Parts: sequence; C-alpha cells; structure tokens
Amino acid sequence: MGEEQATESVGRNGVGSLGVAAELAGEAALARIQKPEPVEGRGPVVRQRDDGKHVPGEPGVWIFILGDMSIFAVLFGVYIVGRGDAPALFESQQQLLNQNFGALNTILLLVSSLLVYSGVNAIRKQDLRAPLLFIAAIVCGLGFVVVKYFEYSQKIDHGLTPALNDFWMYYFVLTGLHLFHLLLGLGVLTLITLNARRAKPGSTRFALIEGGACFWHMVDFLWIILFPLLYLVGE
Amino acid sequence: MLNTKAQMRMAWMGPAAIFVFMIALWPLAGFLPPISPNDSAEEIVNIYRDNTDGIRVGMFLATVAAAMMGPFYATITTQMKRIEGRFSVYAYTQLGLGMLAILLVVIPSYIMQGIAYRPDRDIDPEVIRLINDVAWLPFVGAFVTVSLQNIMIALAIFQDTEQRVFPRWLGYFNIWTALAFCPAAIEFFFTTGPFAWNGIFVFWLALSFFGVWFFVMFFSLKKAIAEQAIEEAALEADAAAAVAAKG
Repeated sequence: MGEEQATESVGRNGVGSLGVAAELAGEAALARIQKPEPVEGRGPVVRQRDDGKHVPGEPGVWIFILGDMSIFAVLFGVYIVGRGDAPALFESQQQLLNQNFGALNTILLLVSSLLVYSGVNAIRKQDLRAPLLFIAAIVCGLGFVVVKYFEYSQKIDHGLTPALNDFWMYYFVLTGLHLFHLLLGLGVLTLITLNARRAKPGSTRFALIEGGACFWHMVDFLWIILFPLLYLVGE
Repeated sequence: MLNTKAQMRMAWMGPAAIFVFMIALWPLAGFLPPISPNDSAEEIVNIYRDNTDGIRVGMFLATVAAAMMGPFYATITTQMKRIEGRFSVYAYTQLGLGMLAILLVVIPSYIMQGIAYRPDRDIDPEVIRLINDVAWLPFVGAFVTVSLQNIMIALAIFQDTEQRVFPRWLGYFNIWTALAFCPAAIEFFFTTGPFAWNGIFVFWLALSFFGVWFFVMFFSLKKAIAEQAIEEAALEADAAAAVAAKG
C-alpha cells in the first residue's frame, strides 16, 4: 500500500493543488500510525505470472464473473426444461416477440463491448481519450435500456405479462435479471470513466478497471446467449 | 493469545448453528422441501395439524440456531476491524445487518408458532394460508440484509491491499454471493414454478448459496484467527527480547 499510495500522491500532486497533496500526506502518515507493524500479508494485488501470461484484472474477479455466469447457466437450464414441458406453447408465444428489438440490442452491446476493449487499450497506451471511449460505451448501454423500455411497455400494453403463461414468466425474469446486471454494469462503467485518466498500467487501479471491463463483457456475453435462446430457437 | 482463542470459540458457534438449523428444518418441522405456496388452504391447515409438535419444536430450535449466528457474525466483525482499525464503518454495518438477519429468521418462526399454537381453530382456512404466506415470504426471501452484509465484507477486504487478514478473492466471492441472493426478490410475483418461494431459483438456490458462503467464510475466518495468533505471539516474543536486552 505504502509505495503505491506514494506514487499516486505524486501523480495527483502534478495536477492538484498543494492542499490536496498535504491532505494525502497526512492520510498516509495516519495510516502508518494506525498500522505500525511490518505487514506480512499475502502480498500485493497485482502480481506477474511466472510464465509471462496476463490474467485480465486480478484472479479474484474471475471467481465473481464465473460464479455469476453459473447462476445464469442454471437459469438457462431451467428455461430449457420448462420449454421442453410445453414446446407448442413456447413456439407460439415466441412468435409474438419482436426480433428487431433483440437484434438492435445485440448490436448496441457488441459495439459497447468493442468500445470498452478499446478504452482499456487506450489506458494501456496512456492515451488521454480513454474516458471518451468509456462514455460512448455507456451511451450504448443506455440505448439498450431505452430499447428494453419500449419493448417491455409494448408487451405489457398487449396484455403479455409474466402472469399470462410460462413463456412470458421466463421472458420477463430472464431479461429482467439481465437488465439488472446491465444497470450494475453501467455503474461499473461510470466508475471506470472517472478513474480512467489516473490509472497506470500495472497498478491496482488499472487491475480494477480491467476487472470492471470483464464484468461488462460478461453482461454482453450473457445477452448473446439470451437473445437466440428467447427470440430465435425453434423446434 | 486469550483473545484469539475466544474468537475461535465464537467462530465455531457458526457450524453449530447450521447443524441445529438443519435438524430443526428437516426432520422436526418437515420443511425440506418447504410448504408450497401452491397448496390449497385446507392442505396447509392439515400440515400444521398433522405435525403440530414437530413444527413447535423445530421452529423453536430455528430461533436458537438464528441466535447462535450472532457470535459468528461478531467474529467476522472482529477480523474486519483488524483491517479497518478504530474507525471501522464497514465492520459495524456488517455487524448490525447480521443481527437484523437473525431477527428475520426469528420473526417468521414465531408466526409459524402462532399457527401451530391452536391447530384446531374453527376459522376459514384461507386465513391460515394468509398467515402462512406472511411467515414464508420473509423466511425464504429476506435477502437484502444478507446481501448488504456481504458487500460490507467485500468493501473491507478491498481496502486491505496487502491482504493481511483475508485473501482478496474472498472479497469478490462476497460480491458474487450478494448478487446471487437477489433473484429471490421475484418470489413475490409467483405462486408456482421455479420462481415461487419453494422453487429451484428461490429456495434451493438461496439455501445452497448461503451454505457455500457460510463454509467459505468459516474456513477463511479460522485461517485469519490462526494467523493473528501467530502474529501476536511474534510481537510478544519481540517485546520479551527487548526487555531481556535492556536488563
């Protein structure tokens, strides 16, 4: 902690006022008073792998991402079983979905993922335009929410509600849970945008940004499965 | 040294609580699988009439088990304070929410005690079904305190960039479980199927995630306490050596 805080406070010193620097120095001193013992932990967060390969973010973030995807895997399994119980019903109800909404949202998310990828690369090159790329990705994500809003309200206007039958129950629960993750993802992207300029490659801050970017890619990936599963799968 | 021994004892209250809770829920009350929200009012009245004493003893033991989680949450708090120091907002929030989570098991248990208290009431079975709903909805679905508690643990761990107390992955693990409980919120909309309170996506997923979360936290806690004991022993040895050098 000590070393990184020191380098970061120097970094901020360049842009910020002297007062901020003094405050930071005070904070660091306070931290030293409260934790005086030589720290013997598991070591710093970002570590180089021996074989020279790089895990995006930090290894821990993958527990979260793979764990979260496994919940969706259970949900997809439950959906497939439910569909197997009433194939005719699901087939007929599926016809009522508007594939254009789904396709448009797929494109929006794919573009946003590409923008996030470019943004992380821009940080790696210390390109100051990185925040703009993340803001563009957020706009795509908001576009997804707007499309979803129109899609939901159209369905509800036609009387297609979760209570109608199993297909609409699954439709609203699956897309709703995905939307919840997407909204969390927008929060994550906002945090990334705010931290993009201060992140140095190899720092903890950069690892957190990479981890957040991976979360956004997961939201995108889940939609790529959800879209064909709900809108396209036939027979 | 005494302090870490006390912590270890309190941490072991956790597994004991889980054991008591499983006994209460499974063989005694017969709530595994849980009462179905899709049962008719008469069926629900019959469940309480046929197994009155099992439900009485089981739901009492459920409150005992819930209370026994108190020391376990307090041990988590103590280890979080090793990270945060004196001004430990995450540790206190975690402690408060943990104690609330206990109440959210105790209250539904007492509501069920109320139904089992006079199982031969001569009233409309629909009323019994309503009271049963009031008990089961929070019994299964009151996840908000637990989710926020997990997030507090994660935030504290993320502060500890040297990973002195807990490994960093445990923070991400807690974020995951916090999110994993959230789908339980759909139980209010369905009385049947995978998203009703007895469905795979609410009851079974929440139960398995709580189980996984609990045991991962328990073993991480044990490790952290053991490391604290070693750290303190080393400090004591240093102090003794310093005194000896002076003398």
